[in-house]
Amino acid sequence: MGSNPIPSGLGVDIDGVGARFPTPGGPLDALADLSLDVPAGSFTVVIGPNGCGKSTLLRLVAGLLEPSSGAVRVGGSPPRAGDGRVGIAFQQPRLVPWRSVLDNVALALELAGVAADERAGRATEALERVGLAGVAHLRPRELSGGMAQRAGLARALVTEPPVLLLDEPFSALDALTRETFDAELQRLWLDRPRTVILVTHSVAEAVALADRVVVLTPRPGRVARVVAVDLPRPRPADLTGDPRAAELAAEVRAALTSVRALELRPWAEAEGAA
Amino acid sequence: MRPFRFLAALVLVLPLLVACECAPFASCPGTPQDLRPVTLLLGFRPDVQFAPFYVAQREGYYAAAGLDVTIEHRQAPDVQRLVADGQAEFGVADATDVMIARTSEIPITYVSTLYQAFPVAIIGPVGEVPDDPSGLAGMTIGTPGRFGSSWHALLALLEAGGLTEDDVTIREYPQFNQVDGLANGDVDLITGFRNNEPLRLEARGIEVELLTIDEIAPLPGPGIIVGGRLLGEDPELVRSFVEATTAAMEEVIAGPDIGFAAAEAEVPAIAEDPEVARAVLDATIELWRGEEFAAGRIPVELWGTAYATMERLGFIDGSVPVELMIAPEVADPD
Amino acid sequence: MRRIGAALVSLGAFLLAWKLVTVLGGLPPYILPAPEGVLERGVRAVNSGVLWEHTAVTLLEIVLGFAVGASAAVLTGIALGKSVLIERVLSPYIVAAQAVPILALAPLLDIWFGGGLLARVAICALIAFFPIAIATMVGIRAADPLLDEMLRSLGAGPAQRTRLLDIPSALPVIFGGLRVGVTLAVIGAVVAEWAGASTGLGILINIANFGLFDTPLMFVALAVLAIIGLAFYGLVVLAERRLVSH
Repeated sequence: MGSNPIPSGLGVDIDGVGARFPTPGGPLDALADLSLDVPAGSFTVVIGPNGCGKSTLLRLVAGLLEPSSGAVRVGGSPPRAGDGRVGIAFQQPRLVPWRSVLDNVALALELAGVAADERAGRATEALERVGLAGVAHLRPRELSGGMAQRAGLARALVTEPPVLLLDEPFSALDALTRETFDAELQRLWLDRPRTVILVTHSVAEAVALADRVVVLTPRPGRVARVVAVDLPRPRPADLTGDPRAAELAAEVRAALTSVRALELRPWAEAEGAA
Repeated sequence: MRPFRFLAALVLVLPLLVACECAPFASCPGTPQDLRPVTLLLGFRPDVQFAPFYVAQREGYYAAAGLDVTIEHRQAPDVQRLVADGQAEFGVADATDVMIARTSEIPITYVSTLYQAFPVAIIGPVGEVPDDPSGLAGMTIGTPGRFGSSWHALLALLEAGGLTEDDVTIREYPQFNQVDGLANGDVDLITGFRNNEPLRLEARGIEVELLTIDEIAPLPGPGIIVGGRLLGEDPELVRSFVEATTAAMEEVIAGPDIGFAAAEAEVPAIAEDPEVARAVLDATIELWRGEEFAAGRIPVELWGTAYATMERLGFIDGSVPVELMIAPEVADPD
Repeated sequence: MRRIGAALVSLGAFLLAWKLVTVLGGLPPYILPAPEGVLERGVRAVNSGVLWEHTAVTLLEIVLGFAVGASAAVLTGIALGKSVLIERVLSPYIVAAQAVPILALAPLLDIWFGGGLLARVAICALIAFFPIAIATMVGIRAADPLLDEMLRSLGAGPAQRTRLLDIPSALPVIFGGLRVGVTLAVIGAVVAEWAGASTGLGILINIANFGLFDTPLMFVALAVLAIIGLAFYGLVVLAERRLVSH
């Protein structure tokens, strides 16, 4: 059936937002007049060409940046980094090298003001949920890339934020691992629903995970197209055989092409060719 | 043929060039082999008090003795060590330091007295300086450090007054600026050189008086030292150096102007305050002369009593007899 | 075990080379004493109590001077690292103070600080200060901005980020500075003593050199200083192994 926005988590309202940065060559607009309504509990994937401002968008929702115009609201009020409404996992694991894996996850609880005796238990539970219970006492340098990414995810989830942001979380991993991780991510989300916004380059990943795929234009980024994904859940890791999935993927790809992103054109393209 | 002619010309010209590379202060035509090059080590830096050496160089006393003297400046322990090791032929050192060095198996010998009067004294404001060393009890005394002839003289004085180091308070001035301590009132008295500190204090408007050791606990003054090996191998060289130096000193004593002129050429610092420098030279002449100018002779008896004092004070252990430390026959061949 | 063996072998080689230099160079003991001469003089100095009397004083100066200097330096380094304004204002003075030979300033400092143990500790602290402060500043600045953003996303304020990220990540570099600083503290104590003390290994050097013309005793004092320097350096390395795990 259709996508299943379970009403838990908070809604995110992005209203005519612009993000302008000063550079040596003059001010640069990463985003301009971007509006997007993310319903509570939905799984939204943002996709777009390089430099379209996807990461900037996530930072605005996380409260790490202020918009230069427009407004962002999480559950009705502007986001503030670390107040517990929004958790974010980055493209790199960003684990503190001198803490154990467990203490890295517990760091989120420490900064959230959770009492010391509670922290170890909750951190262990978060690690169990991502399958890392056995490496709790290792150092980050002893982990594989995939394990480190999972630890970063556990850290983002340990405080049970109603909104979870994921910035290309698995793009550094090989395709097979990524498929497995996507499936596990879906399982976690179905198990404890919340609003998720995930940024990716991968059309396959977008279709596999999303309720809606939001395609952004090249810089300055704004919403070019929203493709609703009505595949039933739970979805398998590998959707290559599924015709509906193929259709949706084609729609997304077409939308990406249509925004005339420079990198997506054939190298020897003559002017006006399709 | 051209290259050969050039080479031949070079071969003929070179010896002439070398011949004109004369020793300074010697009359030019002689080739350098006529003068024996020797090194003389004087104290910390050039000073008007070294006038006899400057005069001996400039007025040709050394050249007449067949010597080409190069003066270098070193601090005290290096002078003894370098002279002992033969890296320099001659040096100037304090008599009490020679006693200690010789006891520490540094083979130097004192061959000629430069200062017949011991230069160090206790200095203080007029009325504050006791006539008798026993009056030093309870006073605060500034001195450069717990070593050197100033320290030896102070302890000898205290002993003569029945006192020890514990009966006075010592303040050390490693920068040799104990006059500042006296001027500030940080100390009651200071040790200093009779031809130096009193003049500096008077220049600051402080009238001073002195307590000297000569009558109370006499010690020999500074003199010329040589390495033991050199003295044994070439006593004539040592004698000619000592005689030349003594002759120059006599000339300065007779007519200080010539000494001052020689010093002015060698000591840049004099230009900053020539009046004080001249006063220092005049005071120094008094110390060279002492009671009676003795042309470098070594007072053997005084050395004996001073040696005993140094032994009592614990500076030396008596393992090397005083006779081995001095060579009175150099300045006084009879 | 291997490490100790290698150290003993290199020490033996060094002593042998030293002995060879004195023999081949024909150097008398008052210019360069042979190792056994220094050892014998050292044993006498230990037995007479002279050596400990001076060593104890210098040890105290080093410990206090390093403690004061290192603490001030780390705090200053953090401030310099975190604030460009502070760095612009302070660093000209810090660099100029470092370039001036403290040996020249030390007598003045001795007077300003009243000439006792406090003065010695102050001069020693000043000499140890610079490398530690600069190392701290560089280490703090090198903190990973990606980790900084991650901490911000968890709600960490500037003070928390300094405590949780900047300082721990700077520790390896700070310890590099501490290694240099602790050996400078040994020199610093001697320089401080030369400015106006009456006891301490620096003074023993003076007494041996200028007063007693006892070169072997001077070398004993130098050897003790070298051993102290090695020992303190080793302590810093040990502390680094304990505190720095990355």
